[in-house]
Amino acid sequence: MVLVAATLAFLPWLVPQDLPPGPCKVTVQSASFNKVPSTTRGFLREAKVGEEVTVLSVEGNYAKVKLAEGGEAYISKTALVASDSYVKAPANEKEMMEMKGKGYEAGRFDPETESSYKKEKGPEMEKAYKGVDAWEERQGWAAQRGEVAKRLEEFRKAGKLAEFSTVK
Amino acid sequence: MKKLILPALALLSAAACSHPKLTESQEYYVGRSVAANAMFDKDARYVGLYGDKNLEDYVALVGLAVALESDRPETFKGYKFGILASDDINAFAAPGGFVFVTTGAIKQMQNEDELAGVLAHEIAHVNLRHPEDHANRAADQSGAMSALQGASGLLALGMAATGRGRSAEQLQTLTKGLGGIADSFTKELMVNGYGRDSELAADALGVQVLCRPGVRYNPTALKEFIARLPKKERGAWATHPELEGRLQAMDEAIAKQGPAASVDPTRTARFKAATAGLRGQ
Repeated sequence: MVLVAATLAFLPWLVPQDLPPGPCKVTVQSASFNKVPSTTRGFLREAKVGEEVTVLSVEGNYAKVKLAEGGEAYISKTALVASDSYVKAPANEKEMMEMKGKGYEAGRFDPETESSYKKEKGPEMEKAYKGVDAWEERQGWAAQRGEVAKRLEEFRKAGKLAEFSTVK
Repeated sequence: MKKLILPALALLSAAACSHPKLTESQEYYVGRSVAANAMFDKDARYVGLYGDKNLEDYVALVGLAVALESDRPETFKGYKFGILASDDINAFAAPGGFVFVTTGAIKQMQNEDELAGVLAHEIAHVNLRHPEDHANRAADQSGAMSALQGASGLLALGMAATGRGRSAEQLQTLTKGLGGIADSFTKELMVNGYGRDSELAADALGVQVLCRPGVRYNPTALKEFIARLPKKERGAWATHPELEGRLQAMDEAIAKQGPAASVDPTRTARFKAATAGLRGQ
């Protein structure tokens, strides 16, 4: 029985899987649901990491999904993983501490590993990480798909890109 | 029972050894460590990012216009585009979608389509998971993967919630691993790239993405930028026949895409306006 359990547990690792129809979870923090197969056009709403949807079909790089609140939408298939393969990742220090007592953090690169690395390397590395933090904060808009969709629409239009190009 | 447990353990071990892999959130922390290390020049002096927010936003929009139409529009916390304050002519991608271009490279560019071409090449590396594959190999070499594998194996069996937490020894191994991966990026990849086959694959995919209906940049611009680079900046492509081979492969990739957009003057004008401060104009 142990052998069967181990085999089943490792099956997704041993056989590369495409996104299967059925329950899937959002695995990234910067994704959106759209009315059409696109990451920026026909924006419906931001997707939440860990949110569960039902994959109905896959069309190229996009999955057509049924949303929990009802209705259908498209999302990039690289933003999803089968629900039974989903591993919750600590997104910040608070979440990490919540998960800490459960032992999930034992073998992960996470904020604690990062803090330990900074401490080991000294003040110059602390300064470099502060630079990275400030950069990520400045570009926070780039992870909000509604904001990106709005900015890119204007950017494409002004630069004659995509649907505004003279080449069809 | 022993007869069943031993093969199961052997299978667990074999599976763990045959498929070491960082999760997307771990790639993000690796990407941050590479980004932090990229803030130093080759003499270990802190240089940081170029402090022009308007130019940074402009580079990010060009990058996002390409990345969000690519085969991998999502990374754990999204793509980030940074301008390193360095006179070296360079661009590179770290795991998790952290993409850098140097001020030295931007100064060599003549229009937005060249910038889009360089960023498309780096985004193609992320699509093809070259930074992630390198990080996985580096984690393996540093010994961190054994600590990571142990937990991954437990997670796969649904046994992670042990309540035992992380030992000091595990934390030390992981810390060393994070540093080892960052070192291998800054000392090897930022200088030499991912090897010729991977670079050619990134050129070809980059050209394809640039020509997609949702993008429509001129794919020839990247080729023109590379051809114009000073010889000492071409790295592995320094010799004439090598460079010719790369440019020819790009021509073939471009020819497959059908009619391509030309460089539009309105894009060139906004590129010049956005980079005027950098060029001292």
